[in-house]
Parts: sequence; structure tokens; C-alpha cells
Amino acid sequence: MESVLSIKGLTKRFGGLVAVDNVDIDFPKGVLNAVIGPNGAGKTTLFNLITGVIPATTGVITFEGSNIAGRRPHEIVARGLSRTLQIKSVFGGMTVSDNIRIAVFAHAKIVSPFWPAPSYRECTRRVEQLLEQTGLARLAAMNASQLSYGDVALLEIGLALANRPRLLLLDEPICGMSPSETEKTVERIKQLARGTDIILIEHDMEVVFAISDHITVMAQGRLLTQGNPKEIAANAEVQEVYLGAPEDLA
Amino acid sequence: MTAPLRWLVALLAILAIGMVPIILPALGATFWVNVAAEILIWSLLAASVNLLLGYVGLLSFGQALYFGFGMYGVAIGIGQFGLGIWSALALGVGAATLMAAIAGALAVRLTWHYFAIITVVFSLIFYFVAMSAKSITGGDDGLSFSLPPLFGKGGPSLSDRVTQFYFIYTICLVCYAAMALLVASPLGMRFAAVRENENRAALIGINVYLTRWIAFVAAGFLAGVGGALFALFGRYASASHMFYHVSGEAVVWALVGGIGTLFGPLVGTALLILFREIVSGLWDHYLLAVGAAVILTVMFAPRGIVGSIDALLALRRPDIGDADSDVAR
Repeated sequence: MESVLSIKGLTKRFGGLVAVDNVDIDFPKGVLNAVIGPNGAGKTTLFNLITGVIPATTGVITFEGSNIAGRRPHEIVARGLSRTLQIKSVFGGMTVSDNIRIAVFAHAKIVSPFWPAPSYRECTRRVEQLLEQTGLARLAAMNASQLSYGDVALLEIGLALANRPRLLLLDEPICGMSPSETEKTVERIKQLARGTDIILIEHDMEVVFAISDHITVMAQGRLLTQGNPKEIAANAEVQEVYLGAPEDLA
Repeated sequence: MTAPLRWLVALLAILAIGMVPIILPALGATFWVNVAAEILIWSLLAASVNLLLGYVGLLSFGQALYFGFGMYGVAIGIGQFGLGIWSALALGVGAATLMAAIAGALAVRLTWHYFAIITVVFSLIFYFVAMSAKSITGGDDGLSFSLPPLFGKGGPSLSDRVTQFYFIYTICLVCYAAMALLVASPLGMRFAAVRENENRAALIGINVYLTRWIAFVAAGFLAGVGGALFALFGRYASASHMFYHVSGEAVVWALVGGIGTLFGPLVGTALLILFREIVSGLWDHYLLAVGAAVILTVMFAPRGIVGSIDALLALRRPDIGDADSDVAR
């Protein structure tokens, strides 16, 4: 099985705490991957290590044939690996379309100090396309700090997509959304997964089991098991891990 | 403010400032032409602070260092090397920009209080170096020189008040035009992204460090132009202008006028220099009033005068900053 991202011997220590403990994971290509595990399992730390937000203590992360461990976040993004953040984070003082525009410029490596930003027609078209794709077109002129939580999450996805990523990491994309927002966002993620490899962290088990093809279970900084949703649902070890936090299975 | 209105106001302001050497002497206030010229020069130092604080979110208390490099570049260029005005100007601005490139490479690794402290430290180091290297800098006494002609012998000279004003006016106009282009450009958007959310900026592929460094160098350039012009204006350079008091004053001007707005620093500089010119002769402790004005601005109108007016005029626009929106509604 070809993998989109391959992790070998990845460890992250924060002082005495081992957040990610000598983990080996292969994420298969061409499927929608999910990472689950109880709180403190090291899922977000794993994403932070993959995207260079925090440096790994040891380990190798292979993306498209090269090791990206130790690279800085903007270098990793430039290689086609984008992510969204668990604590939603956009450019608050700007309009929704300017948020996306910045990301489009960053991807196109346009840094000219001479021409007004809206005069780049090619980029403007791409911005409009991304606004359509994320369903934010009607909010384009709104200040990003005034968006509802669900729309901020969509904007995050828009920012990540501006990069035309070949791998997209989504950290709890539907956390805090209303049921109708959740439904729409899940639909969007399914659509995206047809063209882009996705790894998803999600606490909503119903969603995870409904949309993912391949599930990676982490517990206490280690890889517990991997498999398709049926295998994971039937796995005794996984059930045991979740018994400590039964509300997660709801 | 809507975009066309904004440009109309800017155009009117530019024309009005351009009329200064015609109107003021006619009113018998010739002295104030030089005050206006001085305001334009110092506004570049405030604009330098603003480029960092208002557009990339870095508070520098050391911009006077680059102002000082601009000054000394001109003074040494003319006094020691016998350069003409234009090459001395280039030397001053070049020296300031180069110094900013070097200091910036270290300083922009840090943010907030650490960044503010390191910028102060840099300017203190060079202040003391300039004070002690008396043979080159003249130390406390400064370095005087006599003005070469502007375009060859017999041509216009900066010793003419009006020529000098238009010389300063033109260069400042070019600087402000360049800044207007910069902040509206893709690079300007990069600055804004770093200011708003540096972690997110890195995660969309922006090199935060490089972006901050570019802003720092551009800010050094602006301060350098200000310093170089001030040397020509005063026909001297002095280490005292590199002291962090001067940097702090520029921060105050920028804050009162409005950080993150193009002309805020000019407005702040103009008001506070005019206030100083008018009140300092009558009241020794006029700085108390300046201090109170700053505190009131920071507390009640954190976007400064221009930022607040902008917000008031933008009633229909929903994207006004938190602190001002109450006023606007």
C-alpha cells in the first residue's frame, strides 16, 4: 500500500513528558484518513510535528519522498502540505476575501511591493474560486473577526486550500459547529477528499466512522492500532481505551 | 472612509502642504515655513515607527538610530568627503538602510518586549559609540558643515527657505507615495498577515522572519531619509538625535496620529510639534500635557486621531476595530 505520509520513530518530549513516544505510522494514499484517540493521546502534537510548528525530538517524517522533519512551517507548506488548526485561527482584522487573498499570494510567491493587491487578476479569480469552494462567497466582504465559529472553520479550510495542497491535515474541523453546519462541512470534506489526501483529527465518532476510510488510533502518545472503520469498531483494545472516556463514543 | 473620499482627502492635504511656502509668508509667518519643513522631516521617523508597529506589529524604540545614521552619512559625506547634496543623501540613506539590515537580522528574531528592548539596546550602543568617537562624529557638539549647491554652482540652493521646503516636500511625498503602494501591495498584505497572526501566516507558507526583516529594513530606510534631510535642514549632525528619547518621541507621534494609517504619523507629528512650538515658550512643563494626551489616546482612541476619524466616517462598514466601534455606532 502506497503511503501519503510516513512517520518513523517520531518522538516529542516536553521536559519529562513524552507527548509522542517513538511512533511509526503510515498513512495510506488515496483514502480519507482519520486520527482518533482520547484527550492527551498526542494527536495535535503529531500534527504540530508534521507541520514543523514544534520541532521533533527525534524521528523521520517522509512526505513525497523527502524528510520534512526539522523544516520550518512555511517550507513544509510550500511543499504542498497544508493544515487547519484546532483552535481556529484566521487573520482577524481583515475581510474574508483578503484572508484568502493573502494565502493565494503566499502560494503564488508574489511579494511585489509596487502594484495594488487587487490588480492581480489571476489571483482574484483564484480567490473567488476558493470562496465558492468553501461556501464563503456571500461573506467575502465581512471582517473575519465577525464570522460565526462555523464560518471561521470554513475560512480556515479555505486558507489551507489556497496552497493547492496534496495533503491536507484537518484538526477537529467540525468542533463547535451547529448540526446543520456540521452536515455541510462534512459534505465539503467528503468532496475535498476526492481530489486531495486528507488526514483528519476528530472527536465526533459518528462523523469519523461515517466518512473515513482508514482510522489511526492513538493513546498516550503511542500508536494503538490502524485499520478500516469496521476493524476499529470491533477492536477490543480501542474499546478499552475509550472506556475511560465514554462520552467520546456518544 | 470610502476609497475615493480617502484619496480626495489625501490629495487636498498634499496640495495644502504644498501651498505652505506661499501662504504663510503672505500672512507674515515666514518662520513657520521652517517649522512645516521640520514637521515633514520628523514625520518620516514617525512613519518608520508606524511601518513596524502599525503594519507588521513590532514596537521599536530604536528608530532614531537609523535617523542618526542618515544624519551622519550626510554630514560626513559633505564635511569629510566633499560630496554633493545628492550623493551625500544617498550615502546617508544607504548607511541607515545597511545598518537596519544588519540590526534587523538579529532584532526580528524577537517580538514584543524583547524586540523593543533589543532595538533600544542597539540605539544605545551606537549612541555611546557616537558620543565617544569625537574625532569622527563630533560627539556632543555634533558635526557642522556648509551646504553645497543643489544642482551645481549658481543654481538653486537649500539656503533659500522656499527651495529647501520644496526639496524636503518632494522627497517626503515620494516616501509617502512609496509607502502607500507598499501597504496596498502583496508585500503589504504579507506584513498584515504577520501582524494579525504570525502562526497562521507561517502555516500558509509565509516566511515570518524574512517578512519582518524586510519591514525592518524599509523602516530603517524611511528613518534614514528623515535623518539625511534633517542634517541638510540643520546643516549639522549630532549624536543626541540617536538617543532613545528621540525614538520614544516618534512612537508617541505615531500613536497619537494613528498607527496602521498612512498619514496618522504625519498628523501626530504635526500636532505635537506645533504644540511644542506654541506652548513650550509659555509653559515649561508642557510635556505633562503631551503625556496626558498620549494616555488619553491609548485608552480611548487606540487607533489614534486618523484611525478614529476613519472609523467615524466608516459608519456603514462593519469591520471597525473593537475599541472604536462604540464611538462609531
